[in-house]
Amino acid sequence: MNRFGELLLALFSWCCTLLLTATVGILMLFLLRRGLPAFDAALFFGDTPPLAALLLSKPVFDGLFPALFGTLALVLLAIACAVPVGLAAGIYLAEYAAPAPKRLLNLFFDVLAGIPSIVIGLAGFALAIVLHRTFSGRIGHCLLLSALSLAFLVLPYLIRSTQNALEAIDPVTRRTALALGASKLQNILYVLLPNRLADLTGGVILAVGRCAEDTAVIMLTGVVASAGIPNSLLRQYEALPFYIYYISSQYSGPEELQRGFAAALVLLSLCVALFLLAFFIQRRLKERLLYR
Amino acid sequence: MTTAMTETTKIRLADFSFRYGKNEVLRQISGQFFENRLTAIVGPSGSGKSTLLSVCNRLWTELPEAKVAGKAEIQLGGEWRDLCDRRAPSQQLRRKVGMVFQTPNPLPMSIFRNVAFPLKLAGIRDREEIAQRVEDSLHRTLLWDEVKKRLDSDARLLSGGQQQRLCIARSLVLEPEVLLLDEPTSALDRTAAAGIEELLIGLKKDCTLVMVSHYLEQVERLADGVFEMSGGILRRLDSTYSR
Repeated sequence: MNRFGELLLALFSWCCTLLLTATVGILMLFLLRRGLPAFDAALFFGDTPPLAALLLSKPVFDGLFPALFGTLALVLLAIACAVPVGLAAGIYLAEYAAPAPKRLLNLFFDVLAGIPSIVIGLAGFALAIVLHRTFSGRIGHCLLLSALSLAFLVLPYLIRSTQNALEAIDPVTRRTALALGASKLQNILYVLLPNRLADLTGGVILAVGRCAEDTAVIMLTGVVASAGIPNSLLRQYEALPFYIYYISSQYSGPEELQRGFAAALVLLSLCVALFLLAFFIQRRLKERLLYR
Repeated sequence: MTTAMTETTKIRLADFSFRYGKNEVLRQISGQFFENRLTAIVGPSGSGKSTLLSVCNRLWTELPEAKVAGKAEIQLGGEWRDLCDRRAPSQQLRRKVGMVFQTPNPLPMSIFRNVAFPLKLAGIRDREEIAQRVEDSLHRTLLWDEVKKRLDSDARLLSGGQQQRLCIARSLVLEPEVLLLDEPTSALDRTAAAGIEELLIGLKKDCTLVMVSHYLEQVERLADGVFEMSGGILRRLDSTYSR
């Protein structure tokens, strides 16, 4: 490539980066401008005293608190279900699977990753109906079913990110502990996984983001516009993405729309908080695993 | 066996072949490596030298497509062990046959934890014993005085020569009977390489050393026996370099 070509490529890359950064910046500014004025205690707790709402002693009828609680519970539950299975399957594919089944499973998980979330939502919906009939109305659309459906949705990302992270380890590092007398499992636990902690955390962060934002799956499996704080995993619940969707499609005035923007800001903040938590856990784990 | 047996034989190979996929890396090689000697293997890149080392600690069994034929054995604790048996447990064997790689490969841990790591793998939990063995090992590799005040520092912050000595210390902490060295000085400057050479000369009294090297001067300085590997064929060069 000649000098002019290189310059053109650099300029194009720079413009793309600038465009992307500017778009994100403008979006954030727009959200802040529209949502921030609605930020007060009433946005979260309505007419209920905040302390009473936080202690769950009084229900919140017209605030975001139940939706915030529902989203947090949903994401944590989905991640708790998906991470162990995703890590284990990724480890199996990278370290144990024979070439033939590995090729087949890789294809299967790639197809699974491409399934639209509405289809997974429909599968959850069908399961809810079956459960509802089988257990005569005691189990149906609920928080647990939504979390399991979301876990299923993010599993391919977790599996692939774990597999790719482990397969990217250089052969010398891979053989170091084995040459010192480590078993295969010791090598995975003490060397390979700690080595790729940042990549594994990246996979979990992607999964957290996907769980927090997805609306199609939860709409069909358990979320409702008004349910309060769920007192069991088998109850329906509220969630921020559904609240934003509901408000933006059925708002009756500018004030209500403003609450929708505020809810979007709250959802973004929740995601950032969960990302920071993931980084904090990664850092603590790294210190614990790698240093005396 | 076609080669003569002596009481000091540590590793013996007879008509041994190694195949990786469709590629025959080692072709019916025979030879012996003797106890408390440093045997060097020289030869061009890709001729199978490192593969031969990976046979000596059964690391080849980690390669699913690798296949071996013929005979390869190692004597550990007075007992001959088959190096060709893929299914035999290899952990105990590898603890007695240490390996040092071409590029220093400290794990992303502190200096102390790097050297203590094999002890942890072996299930040793006594903190005092671990501390003592780590210190002894670092003394043996002439590293203790340089690192004793920063044992908790990241091992990757050491210089190249120090990192390689750390890797040797990590192998020695298990008191191996054999130490395999795959071009241990090729990634180091002359001063660091001289330090490693001095260390290896001192180790001969406790260990059997098998070293792959590209540097003929180094082989002349260190080796008690020399083999040349070329195109998967092993040939003795003792007449040139024997002491």
